[in-house]
Amino acid sequence: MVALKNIIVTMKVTPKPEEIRFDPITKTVDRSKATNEINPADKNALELALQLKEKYGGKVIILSMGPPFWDQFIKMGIAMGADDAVLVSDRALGGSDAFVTSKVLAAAIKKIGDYSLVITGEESEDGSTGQVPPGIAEWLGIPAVTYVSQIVDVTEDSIIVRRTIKGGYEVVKVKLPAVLSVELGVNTPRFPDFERLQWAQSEFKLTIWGIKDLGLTEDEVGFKGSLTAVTELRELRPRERLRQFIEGSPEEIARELIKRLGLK
Amino acid sequence: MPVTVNFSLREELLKVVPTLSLCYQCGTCSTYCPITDESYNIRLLVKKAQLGVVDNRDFKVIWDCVTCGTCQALCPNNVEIVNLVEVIRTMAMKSKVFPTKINEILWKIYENQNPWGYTVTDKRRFAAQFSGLINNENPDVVIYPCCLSVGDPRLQRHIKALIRVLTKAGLKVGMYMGLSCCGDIIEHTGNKAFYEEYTTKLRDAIMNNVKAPVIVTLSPHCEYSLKKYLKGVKIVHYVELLDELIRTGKLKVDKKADITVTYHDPCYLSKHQKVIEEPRRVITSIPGVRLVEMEHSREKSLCCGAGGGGIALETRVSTELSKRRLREAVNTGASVVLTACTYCFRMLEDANKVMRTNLKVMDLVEFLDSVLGD
Amino acid sequence: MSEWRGISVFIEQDNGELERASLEVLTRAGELGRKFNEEVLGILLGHETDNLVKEASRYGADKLIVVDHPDLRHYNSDAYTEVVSYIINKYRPRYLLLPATRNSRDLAGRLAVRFRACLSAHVIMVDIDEKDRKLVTAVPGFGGNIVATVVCTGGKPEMATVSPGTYEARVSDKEATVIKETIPADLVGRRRIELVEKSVSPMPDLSRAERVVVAGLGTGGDLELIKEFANLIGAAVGVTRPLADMGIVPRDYQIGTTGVSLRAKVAFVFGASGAPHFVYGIRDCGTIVAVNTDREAPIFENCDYCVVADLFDILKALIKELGGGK
Repeated sequence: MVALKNIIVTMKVTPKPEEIRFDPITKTVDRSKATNEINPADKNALELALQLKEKYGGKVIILSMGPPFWDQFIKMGIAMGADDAVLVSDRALGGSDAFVTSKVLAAAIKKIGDYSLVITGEESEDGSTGQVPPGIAEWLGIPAVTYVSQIVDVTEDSIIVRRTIKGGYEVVKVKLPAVLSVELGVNTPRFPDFERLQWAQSEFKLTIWGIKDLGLTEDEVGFKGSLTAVTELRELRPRERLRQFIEGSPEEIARELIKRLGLK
Repeated sequence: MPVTVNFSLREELLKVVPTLSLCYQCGTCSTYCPITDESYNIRLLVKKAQLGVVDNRDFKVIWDCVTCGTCQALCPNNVEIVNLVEVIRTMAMKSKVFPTKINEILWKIYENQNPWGYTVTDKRRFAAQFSGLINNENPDVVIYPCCLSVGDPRLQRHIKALIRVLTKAGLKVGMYMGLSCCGDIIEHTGNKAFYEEYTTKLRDAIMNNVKAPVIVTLSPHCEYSLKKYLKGVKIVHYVELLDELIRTGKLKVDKKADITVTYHDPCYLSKHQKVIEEPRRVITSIPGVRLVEMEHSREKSLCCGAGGGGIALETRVSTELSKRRLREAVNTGASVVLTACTYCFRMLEDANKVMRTNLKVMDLVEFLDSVLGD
Repeated sequence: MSEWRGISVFIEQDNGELERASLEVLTRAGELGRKFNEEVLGILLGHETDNLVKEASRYGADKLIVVDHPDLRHYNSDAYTEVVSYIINKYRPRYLLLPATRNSRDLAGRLAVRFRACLSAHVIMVDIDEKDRKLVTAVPGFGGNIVATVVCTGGKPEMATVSPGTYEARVSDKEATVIKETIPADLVGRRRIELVEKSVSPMPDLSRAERVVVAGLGTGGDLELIKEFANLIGAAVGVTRPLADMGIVPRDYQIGTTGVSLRAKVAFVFGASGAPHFVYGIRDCGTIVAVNTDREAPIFENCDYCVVADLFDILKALIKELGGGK
């Protein structure tokens, strides 16, 4: 029987995109009024990790990088069934791009150690770069399989997974340890156990690391360490359309549309 | 097949559903149960509960129940069968035997306060439509809209109709704009801990916002659900309120309509709350309206398939039931089938789309409003 | 060491199928190359690539670097990272552009860390700054509402993955000089990922379809009539994100910021409310028809013909009027 070691699941908290307001005068984004939620694909990643643990053992550890208030969302992950969690939180991390994020997460993964798998969501709802998972793998010097939809099998030193590609899928066998990025919506994340949540809220002790704990300096992270910079934000306004209402019975509407669009 | 009685489970079940011991297996429940088939037999389930031998197979089928309450309404010994179903669902939830769809529904309620996935944007659009129609300063009654209406223009018409009719009766009408699910569906999923947390928060939000002595609902599910945890405020379904307003002469129904209608009893009015005559009195108070009854009506009425979370879970039986019910309505020869529940309306209307009958599905208040005119 | 010069484009193929989006990126690179007097390098990895090379050399590249190796027939994260790194180290292009497809994003994420280089992801505009020649891109964020202008502040090559459908692929009169590169033997041998099985079916090229019928959540996932109607008018079918989330169709058919951007002359949108990330994906369409039961739905702000009705009723009527159906 194969036994997995640590299964590290990365988790981000993202504001609901539709609730973000843009101020055209100051050209800034106001996230403060938006509701936050666990990044949707990260819930799929955690579900996949928990299913793996149920079948092949191991310890599921949530790893997150963000402000201290994310603690409440991480506890939701604990209530879903994760065993432990680490939050990398440091003021110096503000403004970090995907390059820095992958570096910091990789450093934390090394510090946690003894891992078989790092499982992430395919991308985050707010940044949508999708480059953090392969980036982590590169920092750690391990392989990555992106857009994973299913675990096929785990063998002595490898894992066999199905990944989505254009127009279909491929099944690949990859040596452990490895990074897997999980496609959004490939499973139904279990709903947290609220009794466990109550326990997590009162008893669970979240591990919090600053950048010093990871052996990183302020120059390596945040705006300073980033290789990209945002110089301007603007709102994307779709172009003006006719917006003409067509009324009548379905048949009349259909005839009118066919005529106007020259479909026949 | 002999079974070994599980005394501890038996005692546990008897503690939460004491009437369980009164069942003498007459079979009335499974005879009238709309979903009885080779896999689902409520009479057998009650017996197994009495013996404490409920197992994983029962956990699997328990999610098919639409909690219509026909079994319970007709039980000669008043065994609280629906309660038993909810208890077994909680056990099934603990044993992790439940449709995965439930996870999806619960996440949606947790993140959006409704099981349909309606977002803040949908809520904002909903609120914008009503802001000019309501008075939340010093209302006499406050409408609690069913969360299903947040994204459904047909259901929004019903709310507008209710506002107009109540205003005609001289009432100042407010609306609870939290637009949260009443918790009905959470309860049916058997997730007790989440239900407690959710309804506690909702209770505080409602009590802090509602400045009227009466809350009126369009869905009997909301009424039934709110009554469980809201104290110090009266909660009624609109048929009860309209019946009272008409009887006391505050609402005058002085317009005529020459039409034959039938009425579909929502289970959570008729069977769960014994509100049976009120809607009929409201209908027949309209001069010229002829009310004909379906083959199954009042406490024997057939469920539309939405109850017990069926509308969100989309169980195997739910759409079958709505079609069966619509056929009965067609058979009455009426031109309109009325109901007084957001779920029932939606189920019957959806069935009507597929079956393409000549019947029109309307909510009772929408019908009354159309007769009363401007 | 030599200076970092030129604009390179990763030309994606998988099992002999050329990714059209890479030709779009190549065309754009050609424009930028002419403007800034930079050499444009196409990089193509694969096996038995003759046809691909012929096709790819027509889109404005000056040079097309081809690595042909049996182990490169299929995309392999490890092997491709090693080989492309080798090519970059050899040619030292200042810029590297890739299509924002799954495989190229996978590759880009690895290369960015390997070269400690900047990477702008899923961009909807790519340009070079007139003054300092830094790579400038426009990146949609927060569900397509807001666009950020992003510049590279460090590392070479300056990288970006470009959203499919952002630029049009145009054949150039110039043909690229093909350079066949051989690679050190151990470069692909060190991979830790092996292909076990593969299954693909041909994909309609949504971003190039002239007519598209889009199904939204209002269809409840019932695409029968949508498909019938699309067939009648020779249109491709796409879906909104909630439908792709439901798993009814593969995500390749998803329209919007994280999916495909359409350039259709006519697009029908059935039962979509019009979330910004979706509207973003139809912004370049000619005429848009939307059908929704909710008159207040934001989709009606972003279409030419608005129909407030049950979408199935309209579909049935359209099918009947077009002489389809049974």
